[in-house]
Amino acid sequence: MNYTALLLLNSYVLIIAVFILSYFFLRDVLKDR
Amino acid sequence: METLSLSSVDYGIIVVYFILIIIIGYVVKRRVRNITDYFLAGRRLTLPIFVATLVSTWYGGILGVGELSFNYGMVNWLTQGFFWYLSYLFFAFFLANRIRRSGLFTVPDQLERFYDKRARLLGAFFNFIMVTPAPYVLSLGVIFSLIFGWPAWAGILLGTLVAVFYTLRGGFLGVIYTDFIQFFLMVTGVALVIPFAVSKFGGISFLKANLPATHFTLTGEWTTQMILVWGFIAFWTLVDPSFYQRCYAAKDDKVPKRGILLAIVFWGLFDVCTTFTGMYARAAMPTIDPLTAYPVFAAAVLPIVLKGLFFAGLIATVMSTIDSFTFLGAMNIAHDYYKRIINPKASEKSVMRVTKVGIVMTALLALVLAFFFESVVSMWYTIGTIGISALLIPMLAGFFYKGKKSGDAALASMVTGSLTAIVWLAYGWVNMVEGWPTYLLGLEPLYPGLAVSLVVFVVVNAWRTR
Repeated sequence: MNYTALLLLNSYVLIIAVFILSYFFLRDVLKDR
Repeated sequence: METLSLSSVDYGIIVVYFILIIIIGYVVKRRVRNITDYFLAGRRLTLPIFVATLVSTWYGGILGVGELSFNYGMVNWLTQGFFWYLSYLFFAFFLANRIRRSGLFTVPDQLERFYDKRARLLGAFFNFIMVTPAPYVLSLGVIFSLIFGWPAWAGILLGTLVAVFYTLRGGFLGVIYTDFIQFFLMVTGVALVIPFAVSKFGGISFLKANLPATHFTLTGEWTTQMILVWGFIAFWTLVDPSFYQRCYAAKDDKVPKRGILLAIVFWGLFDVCTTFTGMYARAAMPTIDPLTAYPVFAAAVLPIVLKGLFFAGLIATVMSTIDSFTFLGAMNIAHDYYKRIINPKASEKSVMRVTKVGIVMTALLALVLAFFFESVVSMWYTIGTIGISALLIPMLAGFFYKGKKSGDAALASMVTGSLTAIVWLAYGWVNMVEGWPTYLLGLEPLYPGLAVSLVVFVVVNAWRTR
């Protein structure tokens, strides 16, 4: 198995997940105003 | 300690981060209308903010984690990751919803509901010890001297002042909104180091060629007892005031369980990044100081702008813990002692006033402790051992023991459990061998603490409820 690729994938998934969560957070904040 | 050389753009990003969280603290004040808003953000936490505030608050110990990975490798993932995931899972499935439905405010509230006022009184004391932000305040001093070359006290003072400012104004709302920014910065900052490290030094084969083989085993060079004690320390989660507070503040019954499960995914991905960055640091720069290995390595691989983002994120991981803990300590003072015991007729306004005094008192105490203790990790270990030995058994018995429960049993269990742990810790400090404490019977203090607490609870409970 290519562990280096898995390690990189881990980082990219984390960054994408943060952006997705931020989108939903901002949506909630704007709805709440 | 050496100072890193950052560009003015990177320093600018760090300054912007500070200005941003101060502005947020200033603005959210307008949304605080009553005590539930101030203490629990009006019990309106939605899933994204629940996850962000939990993940960022929980993760104040980034320097310690970097140090462990640097020195020992993947055992960091086992002891600082895996054991905790089990504990979070237990919390999510068996406690989270019950806590949210109880409609309470604090851990001591819960103790009074299970037992009596005396349990609240003593529980609040241990709760207060567990949320002292002192270890994180100390970390902030290290980070600031690394980035700006300031003496530690200057960074400690500035960071604490900023956290106190926005917590004072916005209460829990101030904490959670700033936590979101901090969550975003800390996670992206930490995740970005790995791709740059791989492109600069190479992949896993580079690590294999430059690290001891034990860095790639889950147990490292550690003994079974050293590893297992972390499994027990992970029980911290089950009595952790910040977990309870966020469950109380959740918008509905679904948020706590789903939120914790989602947080585990974030922690899981995040822990892989921190562990491997610590290992890269050791492989690429084996002679640097392990405590600051994480930031020093990141500064060496990241390009301009991202470097600023990373350091703002590093400060954010620590700040988000300082603000939450300071606020929790203040809630102990204002809610558990002042409102529930000293002055039950106090108006919301006066409870809020006392909370603000409590924020300042908690922060001042942390500053004093930070100047006395030298090691962040030893402070954690001491606080965790005493707090868990006191609170774990009475809390779990409260939730899961269906029979009659006696307040005397809770009290006796808290006192004897914590005292046993303290005696064991003191014995270790007196009997240092090459800088390491040697404990009575070779047992880590948490084991006798928990064992005595359990036995005393069972015996006294059987006696008093006969």
